[in-house]
Amino acid sequence: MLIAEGIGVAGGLACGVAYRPSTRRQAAVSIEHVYSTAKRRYERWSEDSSLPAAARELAHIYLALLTDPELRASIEGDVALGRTISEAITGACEQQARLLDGARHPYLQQRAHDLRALARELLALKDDAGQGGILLADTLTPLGLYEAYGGGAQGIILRDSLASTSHLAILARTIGLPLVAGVTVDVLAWQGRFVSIDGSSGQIWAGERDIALQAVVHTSYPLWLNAASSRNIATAQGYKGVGLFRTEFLYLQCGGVPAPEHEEEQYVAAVKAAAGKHIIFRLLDLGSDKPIAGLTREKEPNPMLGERGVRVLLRRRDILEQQIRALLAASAYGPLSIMVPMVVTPGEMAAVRNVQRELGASHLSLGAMLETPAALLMAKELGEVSDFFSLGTNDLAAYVYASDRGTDMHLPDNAEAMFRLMDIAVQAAKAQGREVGVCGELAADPRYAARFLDLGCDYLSMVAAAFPGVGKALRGRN
Amino acid sequence: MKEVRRIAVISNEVLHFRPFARLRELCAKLGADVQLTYGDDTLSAASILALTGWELTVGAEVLVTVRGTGDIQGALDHIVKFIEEGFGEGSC
Repeated sequence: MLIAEGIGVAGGLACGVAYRPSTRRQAAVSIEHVYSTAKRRYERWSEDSSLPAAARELAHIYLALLTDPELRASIEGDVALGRTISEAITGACEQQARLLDGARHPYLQQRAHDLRALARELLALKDDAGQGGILLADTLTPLGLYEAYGGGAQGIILRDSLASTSHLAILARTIGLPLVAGVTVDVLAWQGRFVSIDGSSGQIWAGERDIALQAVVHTSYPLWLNAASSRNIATAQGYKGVGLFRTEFLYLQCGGVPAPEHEEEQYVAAVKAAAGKHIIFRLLDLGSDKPIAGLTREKEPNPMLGERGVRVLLRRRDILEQQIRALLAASAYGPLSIMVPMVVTPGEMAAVRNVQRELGASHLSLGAMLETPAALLMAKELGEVSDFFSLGTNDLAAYVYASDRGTDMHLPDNAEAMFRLMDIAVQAAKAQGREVGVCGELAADPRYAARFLDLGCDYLSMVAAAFPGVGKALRGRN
Repeated sequence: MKEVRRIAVISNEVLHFRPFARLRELCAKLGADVQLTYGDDTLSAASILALTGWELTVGAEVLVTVRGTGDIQGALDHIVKFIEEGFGEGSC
């Protein structure tokens, strides 16, 4: 029986008796003692040769923070002023974390979590080795995850939601520990029950299930996968193709332009993981809510309407060329096509096509994201310079309803205005024999799935976790 | 006690804890007392948190100062090269 669904953070299947870690807060007798206990625990992680190097390296970050002279001085200063050791540790780490919360670069903002995790670990004392089973927790630090793994945990269920770039997510993926996060029910109540989890789809079952059987329910529907890494592809099942591969993930991960050979490697890995299924790679879609310092424009009065998507690429031709070269190389390993984000005019598509031609990549099919009202209304003209289309519903909704995509957007009148606009575009595309997919979040919404297919869309692309819900909504259709 | 200094130009788009942790390891290995100056602010190379707080990005110039005895010029060369080549952030 399916008992809950969360967000699949680290793929793989696991089952076992659910347990809660026993964590005691340590009696903080002296700062020296607190530090040396934490240091010992992080060192055990950093020296664990059973882990891949990337997983061990994360421990070094915490060891480095632990020996930061200013953090230590700040804690000691607070204690000298009469605060308790735990107040001083929490206070000093929180103060530093707040500074990073305000950093310009999202990657630096993420680091605030590292400091909060460090504060929690300095005050914690783990003395049991855990057990083989499924660990239940409201929140977890990277060290806590490592120690659970070392103690034999088979999988993890977290109540907290988790950014895929957080250390916890990265660590779980590198050591191959299935992790489901963002489970909104009271997970701690499952203690002692036998549960199964699927770290890809985020599903949790009571008892032992033939999970693979559950996952193929939807294979008769035109469901494609949204992915950001080869791992997303490798862990997904039952998809027809990859309708959206977000190349910006690699750039955000690197905090800038990756080395050309690294970029090529990642695309080759993705194509190999898809094992012959088609992948649509979307060119770098930065700007707006995805800035990278030094690459996107700073201090735009309205980033949502600023330099983003293809506009960045046409200014930074070096990046556009690097991406097309990497994709050309990857195309030797399997079928792929290229998609251009944030298109407004046919001229932009023509400009990208020119670069494609100059690089000898004209044989790769080139499509446009339809996510601005202008592009939808110009679908006929765009069709003359594009091989296929994909509806990007997130930005489109924002532009149609003049509503911020960052907030939880309510679509008025069952998105009627949007569907009328999309109808114009799909009709124009179909008249020219162009395929139209949907890769925005609306495609993953079971309420709209059938409507997109009725409109004439060829496939719906979404994260693997959405397959069961959409598959269920489409049940009964041919 | 001698002292040598030179400007290093940052080539990373973003610098977070890990690159600075590597820098500190390098300084420890070289046995060098190293300080970085950015604008009016001077910090020990060991101050990972505060260095991250500078939010250095491509093109930023920091002044590297090495103090000590022995081959401090060699240490300075090594450190400036390490910084300019991207703090050992290999693949990115």
